[in-house]
Amino acid sequence: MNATRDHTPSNTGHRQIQFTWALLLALVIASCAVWYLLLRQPVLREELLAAVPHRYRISKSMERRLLAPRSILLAGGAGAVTLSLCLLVPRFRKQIDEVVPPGRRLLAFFAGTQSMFALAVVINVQAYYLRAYDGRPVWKIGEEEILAYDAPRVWEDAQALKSLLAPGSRVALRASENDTARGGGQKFLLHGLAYPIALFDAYPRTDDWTADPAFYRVAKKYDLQYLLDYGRLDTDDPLRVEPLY
Amino acid sequence: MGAAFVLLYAAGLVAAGYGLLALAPAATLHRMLRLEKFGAALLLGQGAVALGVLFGLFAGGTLSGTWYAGGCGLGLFLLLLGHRKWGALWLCRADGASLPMFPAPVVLFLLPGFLALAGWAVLAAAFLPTVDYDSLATWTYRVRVLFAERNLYVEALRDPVRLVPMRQHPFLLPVMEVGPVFALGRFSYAATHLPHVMTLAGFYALSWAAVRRLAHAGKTARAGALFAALLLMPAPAVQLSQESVREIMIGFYGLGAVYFLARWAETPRWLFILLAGFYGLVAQQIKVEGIPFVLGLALGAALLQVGSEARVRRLRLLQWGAAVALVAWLALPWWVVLNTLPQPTVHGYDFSADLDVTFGDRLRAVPKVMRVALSELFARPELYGLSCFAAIAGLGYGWSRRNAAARFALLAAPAACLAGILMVYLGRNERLPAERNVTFSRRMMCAVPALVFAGVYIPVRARRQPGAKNDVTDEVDRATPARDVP
Repeated sequence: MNATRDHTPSNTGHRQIQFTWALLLALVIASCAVWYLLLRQPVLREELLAAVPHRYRISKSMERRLLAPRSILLAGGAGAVTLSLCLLVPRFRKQIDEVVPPGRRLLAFFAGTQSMFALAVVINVQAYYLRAYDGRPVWKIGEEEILAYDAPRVWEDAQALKSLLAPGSRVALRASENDTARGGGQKFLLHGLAYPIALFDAYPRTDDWTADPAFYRVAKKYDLQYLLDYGRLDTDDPLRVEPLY
Repeated sequence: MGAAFVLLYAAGLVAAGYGLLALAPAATLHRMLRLEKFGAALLLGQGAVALGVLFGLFAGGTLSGTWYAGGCGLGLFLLLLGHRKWGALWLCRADGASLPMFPAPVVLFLLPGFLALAGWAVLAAAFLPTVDYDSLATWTYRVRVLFAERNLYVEALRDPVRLVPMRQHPFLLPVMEVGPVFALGRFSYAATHLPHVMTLAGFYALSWAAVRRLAHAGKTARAGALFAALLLMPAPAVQLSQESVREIMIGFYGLGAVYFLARWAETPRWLFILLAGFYGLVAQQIKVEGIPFVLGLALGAALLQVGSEARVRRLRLLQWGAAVALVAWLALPWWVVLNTLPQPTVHGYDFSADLDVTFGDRLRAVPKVMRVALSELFARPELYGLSCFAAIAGLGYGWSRRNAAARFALLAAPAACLAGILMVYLGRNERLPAERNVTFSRRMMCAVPALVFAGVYIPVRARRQPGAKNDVTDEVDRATPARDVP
């Protein structure tokens, strides 16, 4: 019975290496499963997000940017399958044993983890578009649809303004909001999206624009044609346009 | 039909890049990897054509698609003129290029991640507009204006009450982006993405070339780390569709600049320092973050004079001076135009204003900004994976007196860029709402690729045998008169 066992150092080493890789496989599967379960806990998820204080706080962006539990699980699964393949195919197993000596295992682990991160991020970003656009892949979503989704209201308002005024119209703009935060900088977004209508950062301080000498000067100098009082949050009439002359 | 023109235009840009490379001596081209030349041509062709068009616009010309076609045609003409170097450009393989880099099982691990990132970048570029706020409000607006009005819309730039002129940002990137729009014949976000994807390809090619050079020099562990840290970093591929592209483009050109600075550290060849300088200039012409980068690059190149032999130092000094002069000469037109523009009423942030009053506040903001910076670098697996850890490990390992100057030199440009970004955020914390710090991630992309490269890569110098010729002595002998030889 003892004769069937081979205790030569090379075979023992080989078994140790096999054990190391099997352990690594188990670790990959276990860590992905643990992260999957942990990230599904909203409180812990929020704590992790707070580790990076400048990360977007709005839910939409978080969905897109955070490595979501499902993507980690899928990428971990892909990594585990690859690792299993390496262990099952004798040629690959031999090559790994030869080429990745123990001193390089950390590097191999780093490279494998990095590859899984890459895979998880791509799965995640793809999943975001599938989730946001009724399960359609990115090639079936139009550019305008994405703009309307990401710049809500202001995209529609810009299109409405373009249908109201002729291209090249020169408009004095007053916006109810003047912040430039994401999703809130309507003044500048409207300007960018309403092109070729030209919007100017000027508005009369009096009811009769000719009675405001500063505005009168600007209106004459830049040949302004319309006044636009833009209220993004006004659901009835966000674009209050009136001709100057 | 339009798509065919776009592809033709892309091919023209690559040809222009190769045409410009063909101006270099064949001996230099022979010693470069094909991947290296491909990456260099991708970055060079786009940058040179766009810069030429930009100068035409500064001169008051009316933009048209023929300008871009002319730029590509000129590059093609140079390529035809240098037909004797075609072998050096494509057919010759530099030493070690055929070495197998990784064994099959390791590739099995690495390739899925890389292919997923590259595939997503192409897919996103073809179908997704950049929905970042500044891109919609400012940058694609500039592209629309250039395409529709065929000039830099000088009226808007000179007009202090017009919204979003953004006088502090140069115009090279919109000029680069409008080229494929002309080829397509209509405005399309997909067309504007063409330069981004091509530059990403250049970034990948140069990163891969760096990996091969390290592997060939016997530094296989470092090569593997560089591959994983740069080619598998998610941010360059994913951020193109998720964030504004201008900072990422600075990151790509910044990596090109630092890569060729590393090559110059290895061998003092004219092509390498001129390419490094040109890519640094393109980074500077894309956005304001490029200014500290290009200054750091010049400082880094100057550092490489330290410790070299007198003859090599003389040559390096001459090359450094020529590169600095080239950058200054090419950057000058924008500064002239900029100084003719009035301050706008909006978008006129000046973060250095009231420095004497807010100095104490800025000092108090240091811990907060450092926390933001460190969390960005080390706690964003969805952007950088573990790349910054690899950079730290690469930095800490393998220092020697022989390579210290070169490693500091490579770090200078991204470190200066990073320092500049942090300085701005010290001011921003007091002047702008805290939520504006979300832009930190995309700004870090200016520095992170080059920083990771500089952390992991070690310039590979050919060993000099007594009395024998090598790459460095060849170049010095060619450049200096015989009387200098003792």
